[in-house]
Amino acid sequence: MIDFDTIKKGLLIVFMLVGINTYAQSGKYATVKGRILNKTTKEPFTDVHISIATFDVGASPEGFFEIEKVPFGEQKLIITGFKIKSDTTTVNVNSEKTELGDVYVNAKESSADGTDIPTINLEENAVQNEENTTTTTESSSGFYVADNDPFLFTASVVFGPFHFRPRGYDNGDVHINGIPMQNLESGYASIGQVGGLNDVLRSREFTYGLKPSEFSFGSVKGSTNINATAADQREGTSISYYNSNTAYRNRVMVTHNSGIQKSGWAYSLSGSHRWAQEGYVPGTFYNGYSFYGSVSKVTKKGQLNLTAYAAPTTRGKASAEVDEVYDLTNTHYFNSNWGYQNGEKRNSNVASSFQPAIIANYIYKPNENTRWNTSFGYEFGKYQNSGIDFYNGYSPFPTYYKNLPSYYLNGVTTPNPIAQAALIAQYKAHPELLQIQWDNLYNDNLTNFETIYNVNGVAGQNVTGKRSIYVVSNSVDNMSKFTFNTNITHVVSDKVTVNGGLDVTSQTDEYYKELKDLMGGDFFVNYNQFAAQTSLGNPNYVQNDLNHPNKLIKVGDKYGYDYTLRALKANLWGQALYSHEQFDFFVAAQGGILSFNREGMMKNGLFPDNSLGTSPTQSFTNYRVKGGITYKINPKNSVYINAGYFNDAPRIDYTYISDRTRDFIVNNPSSNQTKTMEAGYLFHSSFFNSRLTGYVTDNVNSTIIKRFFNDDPDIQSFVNYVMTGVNTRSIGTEFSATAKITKEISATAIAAVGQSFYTDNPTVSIYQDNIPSMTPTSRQVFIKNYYLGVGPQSIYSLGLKYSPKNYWHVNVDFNFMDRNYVEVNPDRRTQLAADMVDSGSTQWNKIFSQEKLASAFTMDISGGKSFNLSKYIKKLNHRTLLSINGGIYNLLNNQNIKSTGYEQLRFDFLNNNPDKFPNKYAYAYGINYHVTIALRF
Amino acid sequence: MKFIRLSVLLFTASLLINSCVKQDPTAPPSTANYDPNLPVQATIKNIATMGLNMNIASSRIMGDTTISGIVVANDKSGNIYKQIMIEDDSKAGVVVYMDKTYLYSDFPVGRKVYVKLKGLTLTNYKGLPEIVFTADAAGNTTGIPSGLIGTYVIKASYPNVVPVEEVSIIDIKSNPNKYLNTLVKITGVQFDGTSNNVPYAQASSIASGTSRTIEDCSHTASVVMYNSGYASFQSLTTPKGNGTLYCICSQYVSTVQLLLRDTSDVQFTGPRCP
Repeated sequence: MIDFDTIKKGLLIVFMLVGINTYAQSGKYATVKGRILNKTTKEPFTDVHISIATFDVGASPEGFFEIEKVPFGEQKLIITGFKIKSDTTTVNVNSEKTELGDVYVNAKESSADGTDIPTINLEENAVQNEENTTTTTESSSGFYVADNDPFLFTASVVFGPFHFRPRGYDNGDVHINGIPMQNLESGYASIGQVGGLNDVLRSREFTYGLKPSEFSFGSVKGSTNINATAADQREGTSISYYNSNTAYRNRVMVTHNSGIQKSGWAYSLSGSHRWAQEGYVPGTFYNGYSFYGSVSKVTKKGQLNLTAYAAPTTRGKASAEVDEVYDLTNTHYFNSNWGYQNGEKRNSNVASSFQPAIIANYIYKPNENTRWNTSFGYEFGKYQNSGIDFYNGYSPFPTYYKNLPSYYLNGVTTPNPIAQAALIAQYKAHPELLQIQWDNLYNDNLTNFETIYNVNGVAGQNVTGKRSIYVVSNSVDNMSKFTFNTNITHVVSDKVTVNGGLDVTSQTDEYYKELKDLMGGDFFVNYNQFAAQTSLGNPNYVQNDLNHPNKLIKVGDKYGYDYTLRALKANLWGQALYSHEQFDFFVAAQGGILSFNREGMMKNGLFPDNSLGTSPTQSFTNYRVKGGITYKINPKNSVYINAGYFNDAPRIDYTYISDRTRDFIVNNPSSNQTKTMEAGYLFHSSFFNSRLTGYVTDNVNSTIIKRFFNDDPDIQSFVNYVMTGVNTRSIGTEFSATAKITKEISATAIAAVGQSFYTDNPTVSIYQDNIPSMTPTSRQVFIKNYYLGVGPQSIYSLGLKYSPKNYWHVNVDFNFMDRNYVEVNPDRRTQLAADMVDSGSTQWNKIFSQEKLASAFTMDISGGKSFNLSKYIKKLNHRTLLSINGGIYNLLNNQNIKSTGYEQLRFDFLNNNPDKFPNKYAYAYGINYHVTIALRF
Repeated sequence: MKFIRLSVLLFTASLLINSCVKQDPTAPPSTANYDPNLPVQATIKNIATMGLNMNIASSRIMGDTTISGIVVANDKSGNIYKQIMIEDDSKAGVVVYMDKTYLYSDFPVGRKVYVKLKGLTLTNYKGLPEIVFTADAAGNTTGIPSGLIGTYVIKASYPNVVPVEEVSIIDIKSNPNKYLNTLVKITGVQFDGTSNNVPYAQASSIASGTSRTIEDCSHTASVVMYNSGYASFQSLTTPKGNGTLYCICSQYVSTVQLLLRDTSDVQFTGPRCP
């Protein structure tokens, strides 16, 4: 028996073959009958497709099928369907009436018929945080959508756009065809790599929390494996058009899947184009193409797959602003990243990515009890972010704090209300002044004639021309990653299942700045602006590359920094599950190494001995253990408890103090420890399902580096803010319940209330990028009991679903979120921040309090309908299905929901005025919609 | 059926390729030759005289008058901070104080500018006529805020001939008001005995500025040159020889002082005067 299914908790799909006699006779024909049911719910699926011999039929809405004139003998029975995992079994047709009885198959853990997997709606963080250049936010949250889990479905689909993170966790464990997708440097999997491939990413295995997963050890958050092989795709062709008013406005998607042919071959092709001239936020645009191709060969004992995909995407980003700017421009969707150039809108912050992947995997099933998957993956390509760079020029960013009216209140020694009032009037009348003044920046370059002496260090080689003050450059990550993964599942007995595997990842990333646009000038020079301002006297300091001093930079040249990080990670893991009548136990362990080094390609003038060449390799040995018990009190009630202890290597970019400029590592880099526990109660009946979960996770001894530009007149440099010994805790509860009120109406309620906060007062070492000293300024930051900025920490939702027969349904959701705290600036929780401020005064409280963003209520409505066109047009294939799905979100058009906020990392230590650098925010979209029309045949 | 399927596929595939690929807009045209030709109602000499006729630290808010001039000095080297000096055919100069750094990028030496004075303030700042945004009773001034510069200071053509008047140390010391805020050329001068072969200024951590002395070759007249500790040439060494000096003539209360735009203004290529 071949099954394409994965095996959960030691349970194999069991086909119940009823009434089969043991003799075969050729030349005779039989009628084969049966019924296809969902293994879990024991209910029929809609849209099931059964083929045997040369015939194929669809199942009735009750799941029954009947195929006539099937030749006697061994026949392959192939079951496919949009909602189910494809399955193939061999049946022995040896009676004129071969009755297969009830055949149970597993549901795909993916979206329901016609609905759009919300993956694509959760773009990588649309708003950049210009200060904290290395913080990656929850770019992988879109991978954690499971529509058979009402809690996670709502958490990601409804609250994802508001930056809700289940349990406050960030890292996850995402695999595609067995290949781990995480970037070794940051630990995040980027959803941008698979954007626009919704049609072929529907088949997923998903575990949440510490529960055992069969393809990997997992993480505190859980794990996802997307089965994106040709054999996983439902046979047929699908063409869809999506329209929305959010990040992109249009999407066209075409997918064709052969299904598994009798020869055992299957192929699948998918492509899409997503675009918007302008998205919801002014100045943002979107242009993404996606390509996917896969071939599978199914044999008696295995399945070989080759899959390749790519999603070249370019998009203009939105900015985060202080409230003053939103007030002046009278919109919460103001975006200072764009401005008019020659009459057209141009966005300065453009992210573009093209990181294709090729994956080969072989699933070997020597017998019913063993499944062994081996995958090889290769990913490569660039991720780049553009921005305006400048040398010896005034900040081109129009909402720079010195341009704003409040500067004349909070930024100057003697407040000047006349200047403040004049600026308020000016910006209210001319909000266009708060956009980038491209034409002006170009003209500044056009009139800046200069002579550069001793170009490239060659004495007497002097060049005169228009030296660009402002340029557009890309920060480039050029990645190359090889991955090997093998994992095996073996059912030892009906009580015992074991899993295990090995994964090895070798990743190389070259990071550099690349000049993209000289903006009218003739050249740019490879100098370090910040060193120039503070390191007078040593002419070497200003050189970004001493091996090519005074180098003129033209379009396409690398400058600023250029270095490579090489990392190797290997993990071996094993797991055993024991299932008794009332008890399930599991234990799992993982051990491995992470090693990495840095190779600099430029000899930095400030760090000549620590920037060029290969640095010593850093190595960390790590392990993780976890285990759990489930007690099935009776068929309706069960409880479980799981616990884990992880010892993990530090993040690579948090081990180098400033990997862009030098190979200095933080003091005594060490692994961090995670202690985690979760427990839950589940109730299951035919009309009511409920889950109540509690969790607590302590992370201790982490190192975090915040990097930002410090505008303090005495610093004027990028600063690396190294926090060591950071401890945090996430504790909370989650609840979900679904009830069938009538045959046609069901209700879902979910809630999550958590607390994610710092639990100690770590030490901070501050290293500047513009002075060669290795000795940092150190101080303690008092951040104990401050919340982490991980999105709303309380969410509640009530959803009602009306789904009568005839293939249509409508949902209404009422949602409430609260306790979304801004991420704190640790430096504002120091003695220095309130030096000479009276303890307990209003100013004192303002410095030390943490802002909670306002709570918000939203209402969404969504629905869909499918038409089987063959009912109306007899000529069409019986599977020709037209479906329309859509939704309207934030129906009340609440445009005042701050989805994220953060404290600026700059602080006014001179006057201890927290209003000089106020918090920055981004607002969630007001009323928005999307609608998809899809034709499948 | 196959044909229909294929044609639908091809049609949709063509939609995929149909694109509206966003390209960056074309480069904007240079405005270097543009002159808005605004009507000018006063000469800089009128304005400078008005400023000098006021007591030090007094000021007046200006009416609806526009002046124009050529930029003769700016902040490019950091020796001058947040200011430009403009001069017109009346051979007088005035400081325009703007609350913004790196003014040189918008106001290179040789650019013609119009200044709409309406709403701005003319002040006598320690003996120097300056156009500022506001000035309080104590004489503290605020430059034109960055967001308002475009409203008051209108850029016009570039480049233009930069006016320069050849003078002697005695000329400027005997009649400083005539030369304030203008670019002058002085020949046959050198740094005096203690000012040569030393840094142009002490580091900013020690002093915000340093006075050096320029003398003529016969040691009969001398004048202060004031150099900022924040200037990019602060640490460079002053030359020993004599030669030609280009500089802005300035004044601090009753002290006449010279301001460098950059060290290229110091052309002391000759031998040291005995």
